[in-house]
Amino acid sequence: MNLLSVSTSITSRWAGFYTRKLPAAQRDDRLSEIESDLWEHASCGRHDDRSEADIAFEILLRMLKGVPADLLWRRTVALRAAGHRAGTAPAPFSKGATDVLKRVLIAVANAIAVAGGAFLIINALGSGLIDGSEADMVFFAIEALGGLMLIIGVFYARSSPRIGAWLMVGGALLTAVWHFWAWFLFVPPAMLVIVGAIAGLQSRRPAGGAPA
Amino acid sequence: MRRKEGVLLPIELDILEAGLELLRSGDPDFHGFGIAKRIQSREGARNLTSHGTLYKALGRLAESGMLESRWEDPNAAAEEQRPRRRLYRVSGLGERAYHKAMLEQPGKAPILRLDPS
Repeated sequence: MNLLSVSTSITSRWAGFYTRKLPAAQRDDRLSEIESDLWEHASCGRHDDRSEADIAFEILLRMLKGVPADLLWRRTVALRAAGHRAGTAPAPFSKGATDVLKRVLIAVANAIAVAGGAFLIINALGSGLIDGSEADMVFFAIEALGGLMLIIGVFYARSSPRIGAWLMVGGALLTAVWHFWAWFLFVPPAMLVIVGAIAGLQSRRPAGGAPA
Repeated sequence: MRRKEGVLLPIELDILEAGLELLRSGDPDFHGFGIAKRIQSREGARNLTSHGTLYKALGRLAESGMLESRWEDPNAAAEEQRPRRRLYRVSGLGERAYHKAMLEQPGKAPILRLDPS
């Protein structure tokens, strides 16, 4: 197994994933085109005496940059297929790759919230929450509060999605603001936790109503 | 935000322009990777067009009639021991759409003009 075969395998698997459950004609056409493209890409790269690592990287980059377009294409094809089956205007698209990605996002956000929250609490306990100066105790108390909100929010979200989401969002915001001096470390994961919390809240809403 | 009906995206214009160059050169058929390479070398771009963007654009152009598409003869591919290619060529409608789009861009004129025949 080499880098090139790994990259073509990943790209083919991605194509298989976002074309699953689509009408056979469109699915087969897309898979065959991708297969042809991968072969042509590798062949062209070898002809130009490029390294396999170079070709592999380029293939993966093309795949990754095209993910949004792949998902939009899938949505279009699925909506048309649903419209044809129903004989009416296409029904809202609510299943498939978008749901899977949403679940992955929520899982990653929850993991970051729990791990980050635990880190904040442990750091606060070890750094001066208990036996530090008054200023230290205040600082680390707020740090620990942010961590607690994150952890409690993740577990509360199961029984009470709204409260759980608010706790996660609050904990993330508090942590990001309280550590503004290291914003580059805290803001990205905080944003991910906030987006994941909102996505989790939306996914737990009862079915019906206007589509997202 | 939905885009306006009939408006061509930059990638679609690039495909039509590269396809018309091939048409003019007497070798009108192209496949996805081939046109991506051609666009890359014409534009001096660092990277090839992504799979998703490229095949979505090709599909849209084919559906709207601006490109004609067909799968190549399986025997031709088998002889060269490679997967078969989906071949495209710019249609008359595609040529007119390209010229119209270029004329509507201020300060620009179409690069290619083909004989009416």
